[in-house]
Amino acid sequence: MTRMSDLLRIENLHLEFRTFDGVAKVLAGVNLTMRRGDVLGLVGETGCGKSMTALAIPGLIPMPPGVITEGRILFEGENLLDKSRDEMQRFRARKLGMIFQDPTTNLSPVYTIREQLIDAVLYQRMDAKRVPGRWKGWLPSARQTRLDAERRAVELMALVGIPDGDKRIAEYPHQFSGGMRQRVLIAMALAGEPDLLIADEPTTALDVTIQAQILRLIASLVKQLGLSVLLITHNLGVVAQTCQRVAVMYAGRVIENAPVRELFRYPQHPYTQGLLRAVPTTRVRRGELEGIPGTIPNLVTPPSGCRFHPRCAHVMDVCRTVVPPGFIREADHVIYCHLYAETP
Amino acid sequence: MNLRYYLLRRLLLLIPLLIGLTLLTFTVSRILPGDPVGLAAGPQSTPEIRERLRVQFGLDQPLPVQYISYIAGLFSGDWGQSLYSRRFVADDLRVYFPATLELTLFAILIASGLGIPAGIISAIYRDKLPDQVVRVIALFFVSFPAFWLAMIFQSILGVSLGWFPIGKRYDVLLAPPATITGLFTVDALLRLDFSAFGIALRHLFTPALVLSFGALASVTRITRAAVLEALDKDYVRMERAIGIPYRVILTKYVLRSAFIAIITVLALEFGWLMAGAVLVETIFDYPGLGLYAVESSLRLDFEPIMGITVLYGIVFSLVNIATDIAYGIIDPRIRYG
Repeated sequence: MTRMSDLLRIENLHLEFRTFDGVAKVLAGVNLTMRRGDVLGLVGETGCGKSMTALAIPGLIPMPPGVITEGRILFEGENLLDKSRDEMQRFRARKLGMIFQDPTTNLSPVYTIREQLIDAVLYQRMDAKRVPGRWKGWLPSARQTRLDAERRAVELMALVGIPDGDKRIAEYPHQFSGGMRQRVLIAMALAGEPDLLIADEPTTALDVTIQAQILRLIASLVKQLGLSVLLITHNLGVVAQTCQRVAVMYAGRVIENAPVRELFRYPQHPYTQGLLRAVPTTRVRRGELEGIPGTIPNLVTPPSGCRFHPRCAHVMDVCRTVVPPGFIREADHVIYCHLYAETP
Repeated sequence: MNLRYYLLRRLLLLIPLLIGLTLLTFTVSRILPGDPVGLAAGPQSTPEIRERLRVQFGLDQPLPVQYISYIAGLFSGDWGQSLYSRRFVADDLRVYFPATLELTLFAILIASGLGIPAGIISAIYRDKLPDQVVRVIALFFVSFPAFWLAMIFQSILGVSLGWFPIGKRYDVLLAPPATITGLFTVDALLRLDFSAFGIALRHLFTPALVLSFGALASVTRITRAAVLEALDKDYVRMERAIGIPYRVILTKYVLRSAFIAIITVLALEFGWLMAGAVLVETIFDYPGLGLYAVESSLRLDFEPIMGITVLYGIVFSLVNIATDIAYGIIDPRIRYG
């Protein structure tokens, strides 16, 4: 049921890490669909596989030890797992942008912003062989190419809200604040005019006030550029503020996938319900915050059937043996839980 | 803090360093048992001759006076005189130091020319065949003692194949190129005398190769480790994620980070090689500082010993200063201060 409007479709993705301690089944059948223009939040606890899902799309899972054993990642209908290394590099350059958690370590400390932004502009939009290096700068054609790239870089800086881009472009990353560095990284990610921006915990390392600014920037870029965003976070507040849809992951699987309002109002999966109860709000009195009993499972020897069953209050016999398929409640609200098997 | 101020300060700091160094060497060489004057005067010398020699060289003065006059001489270019050969130390150093410098520089050139690419290949193909091959070869060469390798090379390259001379710095029947820098290869090139360049290079090759092997292994290993560390940086993943070609990431971003560690090891190795040149110079009968130092030490000829120590001290310090400046050029976050 691949629709033409699907931008990204992850089907039954299985990922294992083969280490000396055994085989960790990190992803065990991830299903995810994004349409063009979607802002999808991917939430879950540390270690649930959300970042691995994000890294699998550009093909950046370290292999070895990682092995994708099953599944497909379809981007505009093409399976990314079938592409060669060079094809993937071109795909990442032209279609994909990605930003990460810590803006202090994601920029090279030894080059100016100019150098890094120009590289982002040139290599994402030109064939690598035709990019003129810095040492060829005296050739008139090469100089013109680099000047154009620099002009584009300053435009990008303005787009992501860095004032005085034409002056600050000469500075080094350590002369920028954390929030400004994250903006530079967003500018680099956008230099190739991507269709999809993957943001892996983009605000986790930032101050709360800066977090809000970056989220607002991402929201405005979605509107301005028609960008689709896959936002990975463990912060439900960030999801509520930014996303249209949300997918909840637990122990290597997506367990619930719904529009944001629907999920916050009518959480269906027992894990999602527990997760929402664990969020402090102004109505919760001190000491009354609930957690989910038990701990996240070991991925080398994961529970059979539904991976949440050992911690679930509504556990049934079928949960211990059968992996729950997706059950649809309302339009677009999918729950991977046997409790909803009878729902028409 | 700007570079000029920093340089000036570092150079001024050389002075107390050299005073400490000379004080130590001076004391040690004077209190050691032995009779350099007797050795210099010869077995048949009378006490009067020896006494005259002692006065001539100022050895009848109290030690502090001797030391102060030595330091004063150092600054005015009079580095003393050999008791044994009566030659001026400064003149000897002017001949021997460029020889050793040339040998060491050439060895460093070989070590980095082979070691850095090998280390990079090793890191890129981590744990795969090329990595294993490089590591085995590096281990192989570092495990052989230099004196043994030297003789093997002499016998194969020099005697059996006849490609390279087995010793000396230049063809003994010819005059070396006239001195400009004292480095024969450089002088020959500056005078556009290519046949002289060829002769000097062929004499230089085997000893420099032997000398480079110890450094080669560490340069390879440090390069491998530094490149691996740099490849693991977050910005490498970010650049890959947005589609910068791997070749560009490697040559532009990874190597520049790795060069901090590589320069450190090259500077350290430069010091080691200069000191280690003694062995190679002896085997190849290469007239350098090492050979000069050994001969002077055996005769307890303290003026040359002092001169060599001071020169080594200056060279080491200058290499260190150059390294610190290179750090700042590679990484703009490093401030001179």
